[in-house]
Amino acid sequence: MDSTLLWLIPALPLFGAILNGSLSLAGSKDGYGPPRGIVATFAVLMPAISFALSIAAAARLGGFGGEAAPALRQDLFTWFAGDGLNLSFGLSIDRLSSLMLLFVTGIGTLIHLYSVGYMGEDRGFARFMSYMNLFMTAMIILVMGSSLPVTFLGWEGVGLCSYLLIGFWHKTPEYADAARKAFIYNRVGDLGFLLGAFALFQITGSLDYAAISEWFRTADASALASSHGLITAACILIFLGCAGKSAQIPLQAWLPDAMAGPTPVSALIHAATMVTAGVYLVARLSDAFVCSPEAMAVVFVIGCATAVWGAVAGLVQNDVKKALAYSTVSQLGFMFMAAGCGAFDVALFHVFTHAFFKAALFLSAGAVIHGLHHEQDMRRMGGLRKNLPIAYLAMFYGWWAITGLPFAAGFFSKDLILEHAFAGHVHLGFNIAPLVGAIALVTAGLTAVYMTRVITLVFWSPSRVDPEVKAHIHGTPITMAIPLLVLGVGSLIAGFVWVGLPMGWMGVPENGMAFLANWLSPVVGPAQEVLAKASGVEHGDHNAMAWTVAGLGTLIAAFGSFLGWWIWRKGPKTVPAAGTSTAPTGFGGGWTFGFDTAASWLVVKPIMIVAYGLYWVVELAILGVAGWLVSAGSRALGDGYALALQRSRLRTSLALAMLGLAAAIAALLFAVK
Amino acid sequence: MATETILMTPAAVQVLAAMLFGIGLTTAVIRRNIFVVLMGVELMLNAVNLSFIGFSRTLAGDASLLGQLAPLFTIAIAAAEACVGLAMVILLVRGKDTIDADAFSAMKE
Repeated sequence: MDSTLLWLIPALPLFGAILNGSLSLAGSKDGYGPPRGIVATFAVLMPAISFALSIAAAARLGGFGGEAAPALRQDLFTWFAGDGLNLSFGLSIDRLSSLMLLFVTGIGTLIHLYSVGYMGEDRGFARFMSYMNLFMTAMIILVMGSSLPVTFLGWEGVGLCSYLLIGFWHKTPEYADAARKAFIYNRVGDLGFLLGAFALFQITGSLDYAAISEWFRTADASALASSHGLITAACILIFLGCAGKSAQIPLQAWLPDAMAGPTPVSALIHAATMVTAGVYLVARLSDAFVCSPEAMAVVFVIGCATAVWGAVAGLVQNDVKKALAYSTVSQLGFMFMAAGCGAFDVALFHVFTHAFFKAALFLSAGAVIHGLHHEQDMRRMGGLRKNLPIAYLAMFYGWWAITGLPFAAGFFSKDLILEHAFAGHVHLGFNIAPLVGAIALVTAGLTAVYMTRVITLVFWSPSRVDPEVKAHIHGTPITMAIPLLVLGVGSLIAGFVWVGLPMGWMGVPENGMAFLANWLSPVVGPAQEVLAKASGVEHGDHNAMAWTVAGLGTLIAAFGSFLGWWIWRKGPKTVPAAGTSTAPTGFGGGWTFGFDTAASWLVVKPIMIVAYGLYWVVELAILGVAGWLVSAGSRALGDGYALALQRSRLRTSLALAMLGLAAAIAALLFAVK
Repeated sequence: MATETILMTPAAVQVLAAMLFGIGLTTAVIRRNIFVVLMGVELMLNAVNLSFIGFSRTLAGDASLLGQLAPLFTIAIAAAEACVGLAMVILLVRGKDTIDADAFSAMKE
């Protein structure tokens, strides 16, 4: 693959988006909408070709068919040029972007195919596929951007598509509210992204990733020390952007609400791809992050807290999609935990495996929801193994992967995170490794409990499905079955990428036990070296501990799974009355909505108070009094004299106008003299 | 000085123009027939044209040229103005069914 073809990767889905958008607009008048076959073909084909091109690019980087290139880069045009800043609109694929690109386009294509089955009956099918394709474009630009502004373009684009798709069924006011909530939370993060980018420009004098990394890698100690405060600020601000996009505390509350969107959207945008953009950005700027131990500590602590919070919240949900959403929040916390430990490659590995198993879980939840005629309440499910075998299979594989039971994808990635948490690269002034490891381990156990709860309530426990619904369960169409099976199997085998088994068979030179780490080392390796030197932890220590941690992780996953099955095997104790809300109540409600309440008290209410204050002081007192003075003055004047003139006859007005003109001319003449 | 010479002095032309303007203004102010008011306005306009012509004879160079050009423009525009003015007057008369200028005092309210 030649680097002059890079532009095609984002351009093809954009073409699909424009085509389907036009079809949607053109077909909006007649009752059936545009022809579904054409819409579906283009919508699925465009990301599929992008996927093929991404494979070709990755093969080029890996050295297939020629010299291995470190990165492919194409500068399309000069975006803006000015004093001290010349920025070209550049796309580039290095090893980090190629990893992201492969699963974004690959899993994206599968989910597009799934959407054909899931959304095919919907009135707005073409509009939906157009938004999905637009999302692919934006996500690809985000990943392929060679500089911060280009990434920001994609960053905003995915935010926009997320907003459009959460509110896809915008006739329901709650869904539109959820869309706005997501957008506003992301705006807060975007502000951080922008300020962080400005700060990085101030430090390094460039916005290009290559130049930024180069600056941090080659800067001498005095330069780093003199701008240490600014570097810390820049990293924390960038992380605020990542927290917004990747739903980390304190900006995480939008993600569960985002489940208002159709299920393929939840799978693609709010589980597999967009929400991992934050992890990508932290890894991309890893050279900057490692120069600030404080920023790394922030990333780590926030990740840890989010992982724990999300796991507990996932445990108390009744809505199957909400449970998976909190699970996503928790897993994203795990990724940031790994990044905060300095294990950027592990964080990306978890991004990669999570994309598979979370997409599989969401899509199978979608198949269940589709089968049960839009029932999302797990209290009205159960015993669906026979009715929805393919969905069951995919969820079973996803469950296997996420709990961390041996040999599925999550086993490898979660284990590596635990290992790095115990290894303690975190600089908090004292050794917190045992505490950190324990928190991570407990959270991994909680993950197993809540995930087993979900699969138990949906598939293993006795059926609580309404008999009326049960008689008419929709089967899983072939377009939904294929992605389910591919992603299910992917959840099983994606973990082996770390050790490079498939690549090893294919004879790639770089493999061994850390294929992915080697693959990513040109991008994040130097940063990890810096941290390893600073903390004094040798690689040998890891290996000694690896088996212990793997054993502990497996034990706690097995125990958590058993616990989840034991508690909920008979279904929930309370039988729901029809039409009740799925929102958790009691402790669960307090825990789940705690951050919403806090945001309401800390942000919304103060802003309301300030707004009312401004209303009373500025609007009523200042503007009111001033306005009254002006109006009273003009009324006194007008009612007295001006009105009498206004009420005069036309002829009088004319005479007066002439007199006035004469007076004006006379005054002018005198003034001239 | 012969009579015709006196009449052709610049001051005499300006006096005539001023008189015409005065007549026009008086007509516009004191008459109540709205058509006559319009005629008064037209008379004022032509008085000004006459004044321009007078000055074009008195003054030299560019100013003289301007004095000849301005009336040409004024005449052209006045044709359009008369057209619009008459149309407006007709509309006004149709609306109130009267030609009394004093009846049109809608700005009161």
